[in-house]
Amino acid sequence: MFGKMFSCVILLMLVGFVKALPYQDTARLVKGKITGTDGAPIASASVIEKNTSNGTLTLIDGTFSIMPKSENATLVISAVGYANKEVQLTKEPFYLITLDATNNNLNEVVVIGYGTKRKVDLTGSVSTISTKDIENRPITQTSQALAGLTTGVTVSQGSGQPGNNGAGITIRGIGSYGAGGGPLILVDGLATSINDVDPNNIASISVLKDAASASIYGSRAANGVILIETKRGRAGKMQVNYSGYAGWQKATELADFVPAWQYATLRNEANKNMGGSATYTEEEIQKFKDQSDPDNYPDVAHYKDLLTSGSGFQSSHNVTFLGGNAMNRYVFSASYLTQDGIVTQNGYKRYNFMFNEDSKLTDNLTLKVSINGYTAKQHSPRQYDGGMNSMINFAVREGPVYAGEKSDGTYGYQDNYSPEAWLASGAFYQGSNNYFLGGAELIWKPFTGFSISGKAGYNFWSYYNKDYAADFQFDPNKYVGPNNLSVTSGQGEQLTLQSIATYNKVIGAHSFELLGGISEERYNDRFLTGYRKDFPTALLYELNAGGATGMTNGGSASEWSMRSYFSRFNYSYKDKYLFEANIRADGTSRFPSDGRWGYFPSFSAGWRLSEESFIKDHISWIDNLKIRGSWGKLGNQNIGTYPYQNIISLGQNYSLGGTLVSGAATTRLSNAAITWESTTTKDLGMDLDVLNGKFGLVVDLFDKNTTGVLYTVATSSVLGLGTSPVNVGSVKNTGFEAALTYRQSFGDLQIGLSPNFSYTKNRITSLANGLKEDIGSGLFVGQPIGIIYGYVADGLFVDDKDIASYATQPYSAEPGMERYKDISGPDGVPDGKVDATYDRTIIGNTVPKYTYGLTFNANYKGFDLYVLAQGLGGYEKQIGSYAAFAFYNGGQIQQWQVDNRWTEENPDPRAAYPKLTSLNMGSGAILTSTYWNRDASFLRIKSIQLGYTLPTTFVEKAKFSKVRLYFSGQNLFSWNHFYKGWDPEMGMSTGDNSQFYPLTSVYTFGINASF
Amino acid sequence: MLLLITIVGCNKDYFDKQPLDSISDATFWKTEKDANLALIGCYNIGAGWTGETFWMPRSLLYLDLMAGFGSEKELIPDHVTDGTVTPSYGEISAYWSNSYNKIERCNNFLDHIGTIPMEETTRGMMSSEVRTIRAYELFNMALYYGAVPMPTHLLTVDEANTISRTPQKDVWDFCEKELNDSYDSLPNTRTSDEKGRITKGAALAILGRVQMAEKKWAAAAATYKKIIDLGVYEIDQKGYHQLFMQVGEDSKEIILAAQFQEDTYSHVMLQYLYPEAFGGWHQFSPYNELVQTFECTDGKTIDKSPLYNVDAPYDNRDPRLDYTIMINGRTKFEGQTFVSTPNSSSPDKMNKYNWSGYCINKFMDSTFSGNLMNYGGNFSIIRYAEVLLSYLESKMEAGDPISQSLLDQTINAVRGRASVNMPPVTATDAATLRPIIRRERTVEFAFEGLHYYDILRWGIAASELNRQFTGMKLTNNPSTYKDFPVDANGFFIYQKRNFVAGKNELWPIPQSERDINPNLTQNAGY
Repeated sequence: MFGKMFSCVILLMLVGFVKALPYQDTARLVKGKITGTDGAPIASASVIEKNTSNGTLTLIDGTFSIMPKSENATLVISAVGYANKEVQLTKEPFYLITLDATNNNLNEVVVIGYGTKRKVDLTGSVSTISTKDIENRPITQTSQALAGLTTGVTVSQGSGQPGNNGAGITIRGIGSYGAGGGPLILVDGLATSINDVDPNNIASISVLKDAASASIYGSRAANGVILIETKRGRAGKMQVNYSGYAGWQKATELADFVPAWQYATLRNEANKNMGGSATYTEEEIQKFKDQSDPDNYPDVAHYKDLLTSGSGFQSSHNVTFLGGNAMNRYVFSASYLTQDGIVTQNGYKRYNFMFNEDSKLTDNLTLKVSINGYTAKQHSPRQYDGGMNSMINFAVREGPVYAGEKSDGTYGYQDNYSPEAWLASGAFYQGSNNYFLGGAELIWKPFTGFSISGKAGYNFWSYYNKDYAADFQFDPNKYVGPNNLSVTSGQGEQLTLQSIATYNKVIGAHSFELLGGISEERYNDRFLTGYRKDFPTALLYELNAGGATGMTNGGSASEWSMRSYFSRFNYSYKDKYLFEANIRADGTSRFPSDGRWGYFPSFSAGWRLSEESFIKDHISWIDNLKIRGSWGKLGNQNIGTYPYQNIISLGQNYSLGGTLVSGAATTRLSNAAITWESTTTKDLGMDLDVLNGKFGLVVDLFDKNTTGVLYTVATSSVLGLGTSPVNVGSVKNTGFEAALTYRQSFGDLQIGLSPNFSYTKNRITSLANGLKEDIGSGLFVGQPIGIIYGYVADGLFVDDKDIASYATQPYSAEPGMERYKDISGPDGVPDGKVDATYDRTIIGNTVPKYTYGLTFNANYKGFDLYVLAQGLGGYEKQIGSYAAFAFYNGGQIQQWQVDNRWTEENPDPRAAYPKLTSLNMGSGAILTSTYWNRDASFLRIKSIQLGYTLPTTFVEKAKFSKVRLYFSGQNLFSWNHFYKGWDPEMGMSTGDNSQFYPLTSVYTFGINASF
Repeated sequence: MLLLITIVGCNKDYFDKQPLDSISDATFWKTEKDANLALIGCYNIGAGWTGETFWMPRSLLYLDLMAGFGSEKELIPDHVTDGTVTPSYGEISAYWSNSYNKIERCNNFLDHIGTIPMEETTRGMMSSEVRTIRAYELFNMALYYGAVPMPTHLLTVDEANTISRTPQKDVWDFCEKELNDSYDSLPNTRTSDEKGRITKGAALAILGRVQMAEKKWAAAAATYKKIIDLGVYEIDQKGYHQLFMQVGEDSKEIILAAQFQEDTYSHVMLQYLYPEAFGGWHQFSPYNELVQTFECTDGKTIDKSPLYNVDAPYDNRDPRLDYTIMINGRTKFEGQTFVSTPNSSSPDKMNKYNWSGYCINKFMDSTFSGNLMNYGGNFSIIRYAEVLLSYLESKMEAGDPISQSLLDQTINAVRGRASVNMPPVTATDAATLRPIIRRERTVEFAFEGLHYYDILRWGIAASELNRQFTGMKLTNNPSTYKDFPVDANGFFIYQKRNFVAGKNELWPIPQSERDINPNLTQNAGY
């Protein structure tokens, strides 16, 4: 209905003007310099002519120039961390203005949905991240930047692979077990992916956590919203900033696999334990030990060799030009990033550019243009039937007794795997991406308090990826081939059109603000794939060079569209009582017409107690005290593009008479009634600043209820079909967040300390009607999302007598194998038999309950130190397959498995590893159980930066305004109780094909220079 | 002049987005073309690395390993019958879910085919094909799992999550009826562009399997007689070995085969099967017990034949032994000898893995030079040899008198084919003939996926699978040999299977299914 009402709205903004206004050449130019009480220049301070919109920002050396419109103008100077100051202009041409540090940030302006607001006026829960916390860190993907910096945000980086090492971000707990859980990311107001913005270009990051702040983004805001604004120009002479660094990466942790002779000895032990005979003779073990015949009795650390084969060199350079005048301001930024992997032949290169321009076309008409983009290239080695990360997985498996390159030039291998051989084969992956995001916004302010804007955004991306699987002759026996090439090329675009009108009015002590807007987004993407084999030489890598026999192609496309109407109303009385209401209506193509429109309202209110006379007049040490509360509803629609339509899949082919014949089959039973997930959030918060900004505290309590969770009801495979999700589940997240800031100066020493802590309790409040558990998906009512379900291991069996006297096990138990507990039985009591139905239980939780972080910074004269610690806590993880189990499917063995393992001589029921055997997926010793659970909590020194700013007098001789040198380290140390050699933060599945790339530490030296 | 126009679209279909690469349900099931697409969808079995189904070559081979013909390197099929299988075992749920996926496609097809305007004979033939595919799946499901859910139409989610198990006998009765209803409307042969589709002979041969499993001997004999009387099949005389290579896939002996094609619809079994020396993974290790089942060239078993020499145990044996098993120092492939001598430098040396020292030679395709993971050769599911041997067995078990001419038309035609040339069988009494027929089936169909079915219906699974298995010959002086454990004849003491009688005859119902559907009971002992 709402949709129909507005189904044909045309907003036409037609503004014409003949030529831009000439510069005012009659006014005089006023110049000045702004410093702190210590004499240090203050950059980016705002200088505004009082009661006008005429203003500028100071340059990095604290200087500014402005053309006042009236003779007796007053300049209002404000800067973050300093008290505002008003300066009455005289006839002087130059003003030296000193600001008093206040330490409080009450005037800080934060970016919110479709606007900005003073922090003190916020009634919702918004966290901001300053560029200081991002600058100069060797962050290659912006998503990594958020870790540890703010409450309510859980950041976990799963991989260290160059170009593919972004982090996962969860805001205030996982709100769904059906739809996607990522936050909505907007860069300069346009929806995109967080890693598509260059960290060098970020001016501010706001995280909208509660419904009051996020509901203006409606159906995509349930998992929080992250608003990123890029840098903008400022009036003044052109300033050039350079920042660059170079450094090296290495794996944070590497598993310690035993050498060949020990492998052989232990292999014999495992054989013996299984009643088999020795694989290796004493002579052979001796040859492994003395390495007298390394071709036949090698000792090769395939895993470690592979993960130290690359240089790990990383370097980044950015040049930013900014400047402008009263009419036009610009910023142009160009960056180059190169990152070589810790694996050889692996690397990533990216060129970013950004151009932002703000033009005052007339007194009341402003044009804002934001353009940024990048081109990136990624390359990595590969093996015949898998990429680099699969190669790493099989290097975990391949024991030291398999040779690498032998003296005759042939290669050792296990099955078709050998990192040395595939690195030599010429097989590779090459990916290239191009990305463009451009937006233009025209803002018209026809009369005081009213503004109307129209914005068009266009996002285009394309990629072209090549996988060349070389053929390879390992040795006279082993050939893998033929060579082949797969190419995937695709592109997509998203168009955003948006119009917003705002109106502000102050009537006495009452101030009102009203915002209304409409927006529309259209998305489409498409791709093509091609495959050929039998390339004549290993040097031709284009499809046409391949043989025509057996070539295949493929391709597809998808599209969706959204239309939205939104509005916000603010009211405040004497800056004391604050009220805000939002509503958004979203229509989407993803849902059938009945459930297509969703409505997302929110209300919030704040009370600044510190403005009440009983505090203001009596308690002088309180700068600011505000309590705020909010309620609102948000939606989530991240569930694929056509979920409500029954799909007949093509490509269900069969070969008849030597020809492939086309077939089709229904592959999914659809849910025609699918609609939004809906999240209701309540938030209660308090902001407190005391002692002139020395201490700040922000506390929030929240309660987030998601209903209509899109849940694919566990269906028996007897159905024979996939099913699509239905809106039946619900999830509750409740939590507590606190962030403290402390700032203090001791003479020349200034320090700052900001700890933050978040706790989220997540639980599933319902699954499908009456369903209490879905074991296959690990979902249980009353339990958090992401639990581990399995047996409780009561240590290991000591001997046969122990087995006989214990409950019957669900596998053929042996001494030295897990003793699973008999928890219950058909009658609700232990029945002497351990089985899957009655004796498995919830044994762990894989989603962190606690997130915490701490930033510390100190400045002393020219020196600065920055430390960021980050931790995740309250969760468990398992690793599996080759990484966790010795000799699994022909795999190798790690030192921790050897130390304190169960042996007949030392039948320790609490041994860290069971009796050595060769394991495989059917082994009873590796059923999911507490035995393999480990606490995955960790505390990490995420970043350290030590810098020195050269004395101004010194650098000015070389025409620089500022030069700073620094050392920085990322992911330096971590404390955890996880499996030795495996970083708990790293993303690994427990399956046999667990592809991963270790997380890396990065050590860099860098320089910042301005001139 | 600057003009900014923001138009919020006036088009009514702004939100009407359809999938761009698949057909939405509303537009399907309208024409004969749709019916053809859906029919092929019922045949589709995935390809490449697709998991266990009763159509994939590797899966069928696995069944014979489970039935005691050998071991797999990671013991994946071994676990099913070595006494350790649990309801959570992935292989068990793989056969289950892939079968029901196929059954669903057939049901969906049969639910819709009636309303599509098309010629009745075409509709009848297509329905019969699909009903035959469904019967093959249901028969196998009931064979291995016992009572199983038997959906005969497209289920709803609620139905699927609450369906009960239908007793094995009822499932088989249903299959028998379906196949009896179907075979007549199927063609005797297929044109070359339809080669691979179900024929009358294929439907009848599946029917015969069902009837033999149900011990309906007379009915089974009559069914097999129908196939023989079709006159379209014959025992291949070109060479037993090449029957299992790509060059042999047009043989008139093949009644039903899973169809593959290099590059576009290939399978990976050869990568698993080939010894390492020939670029494979040497995933399978035949047991010596199978090796010893092959007769000597005089038609006598090794314990009776004067031609058997325990010091040269592979000489003077049924030629199918060499066609079926790779033997250390003996078998040549593309001019190179297979070596598995322990502690040797061979990549296939017996003690490198938990190997028996033998490898599979059947299916090794010397005419193929491509990627072993991209093999396009078909895999026989039913051969005419089975029809002849099953016919004889049914006649015998039915108590019909067995004549020499019947023997010559059946078992002797199979074992007497050119390239095998084993002496004719002359025994006509059931007691003597029974073990001969069973042995003939064992050696003739080794690794083709039939042996599990045979030992279940013969009732010998427990005795076959609860014993010590041996591997290659290691020494002629077992009393002094110390390197590896050997039996009295110098064969490597290899693996033991601990099949639990009364339990392991049926696979467990997958735990993941019972977690969802409380009406699924579990088989005894699990």
